[in-house]
Amino acid sequence: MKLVIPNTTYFPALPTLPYFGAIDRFFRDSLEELTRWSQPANGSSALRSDLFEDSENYYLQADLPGVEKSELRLAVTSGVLELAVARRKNADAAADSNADMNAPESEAREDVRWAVTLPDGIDESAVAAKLEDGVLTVTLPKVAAPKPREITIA
Amino acid sequence: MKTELSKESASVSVPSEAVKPRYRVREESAEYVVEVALPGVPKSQTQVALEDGVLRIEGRRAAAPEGWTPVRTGRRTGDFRLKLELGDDIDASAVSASSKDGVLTVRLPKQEKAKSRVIEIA
Repeated sequence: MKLVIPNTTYFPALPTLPYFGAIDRFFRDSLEELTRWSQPANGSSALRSDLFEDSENYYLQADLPGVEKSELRLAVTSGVLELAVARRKNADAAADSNADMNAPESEAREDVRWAVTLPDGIDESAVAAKLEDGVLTVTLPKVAAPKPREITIA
Repeated sequence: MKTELSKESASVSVPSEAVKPRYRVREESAEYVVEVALPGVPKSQTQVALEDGVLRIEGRRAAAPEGWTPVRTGRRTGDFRLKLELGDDIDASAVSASSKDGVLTVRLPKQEKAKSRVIEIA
């Protein structure tokens, strides 16, 4: 059972995650790591994202290392968030010819698009986004739900 | 021999079970360039060190803000660590690092004798 013990420290944030077990995640990540090596270096990869919420908003966070603000386009339409990374203009030839299979996701030399299905009840007109240290954070305000009205018994 | 490249971030400590980040290495005529994807790691939480011919890169991810409850997760959690053994043709005193948009770029200049040169035919 040696595998089980290190995982609690390997994923320090996990005790707060109700949905995914640390071990599932460990094996899924390992599998992804293996499959990625067989992909072409310029192939698009799955978007790694997390969805959080608090009482007012949902927050989508996605890893986009090496992507500049000017290269990223976001659009929200009927419950789907579309992300598009435009081709990098000054892609240097040296990097292309020598590209390693283990390249970072900055390898966004082609147009790459992802679509993320959003939870219900979002005010699409008030969606906001920021890009910092290669992580995109999209704030998705929840539509104000009618507050329960207390009824006094006469 | 120890070269601390990023003195102000020397206090960064990463647990021993860190995740290996994605990276790539390319060779140019005068230097090697290592690019490491460290999404979510601010510059202040990145440490680059060169010790006994091993390049060690460590990065601590910023935690999700307090009060955020995870709904579904697909990103890797945990901090990053990458160790790369270097050839002995590196000029350790001239190594430099920069960070932009979650990608750390480390430049490892070759020693003078290892640089490729075009030789003109007399």
